[in-house]
Amino acid sequence: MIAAVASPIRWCRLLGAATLALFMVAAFTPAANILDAWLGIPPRIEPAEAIVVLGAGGDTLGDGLPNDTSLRRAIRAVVLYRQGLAPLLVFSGSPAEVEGRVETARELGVPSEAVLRAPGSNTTRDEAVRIGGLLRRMGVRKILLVTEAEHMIRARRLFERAGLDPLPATVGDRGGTELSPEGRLDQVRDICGELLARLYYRVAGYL
Amino acid sequence: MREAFVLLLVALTSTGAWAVGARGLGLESRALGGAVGRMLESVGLIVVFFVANLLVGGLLIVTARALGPRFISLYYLDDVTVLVLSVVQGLALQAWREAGRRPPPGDRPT
Repeated sequence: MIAAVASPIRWCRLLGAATLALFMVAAFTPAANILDAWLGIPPRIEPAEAIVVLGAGGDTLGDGLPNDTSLRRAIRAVVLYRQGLAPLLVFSGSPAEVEGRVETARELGVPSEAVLRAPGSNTTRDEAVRIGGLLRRMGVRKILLVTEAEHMIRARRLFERAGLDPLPATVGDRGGTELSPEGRLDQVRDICGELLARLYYRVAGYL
Repeated sequence: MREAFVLLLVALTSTGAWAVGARGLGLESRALGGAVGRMLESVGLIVVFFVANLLVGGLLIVTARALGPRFISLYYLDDVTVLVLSVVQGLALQAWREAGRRPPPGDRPT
């Protein structure tokens, strides 16, 4: 009986040691930066027919503006639009998030006729199916897809499956510049979350 | 630079804690190895609870999506409180293990 209890505890001790070792590597070495660069896709910015900005959690703050990630994606898209890379901006996400982004784009000088609202999607797959159908009916194929580098591989494949030709317009690329231990842990959390999401999408047959 | 500062800070306070423990509280330095082992067990238990919380949470969310009318995001699990509460669970189990051990026969009250 004692041996049966001691054995799981020994495993817990090994698991604890491995966890602490991984924590030290993740926080205090450039391993997270290297992994992030390996898993992400470099941007490919070319003229396209539309700029599609994926939703980022759907949160809006008290001032009506979207959360930080959502706003960063929207601003990246507005910059691409103002560089003349595409004539149409497509904002996805929750209704409140979309309205917050549309208002931000309007304030930054994007005319309302250049903005298409695509609210109501809950997942990246939903967004690809819904926006893919919408843009195909408008005759649009080549798009600049705006999301984070880690998310891009999954998102690009889903939009390709939806019949579009997405060019990666990555945002928030931390690359080799993230040097604080806390920032590296954030990076590792994002990478682990995205790897789990890819696994889930593969098991569900979405990729 | 920031990494070195954090590591140096932790090294300094750990050395201070060792000095206080060994000289102020009269703890044996030989027992430190066993204490580190217990600490690693606690970390392992926290990881076990954290993974269990993620697996059970994911299963509940996928089931709720399939059965209920309302969409629930898997990102509900991407919340630091899950980790903090896993720490509490792991430490509580470790404390229970310590408190639940039967004392040797000689120490039992008669």
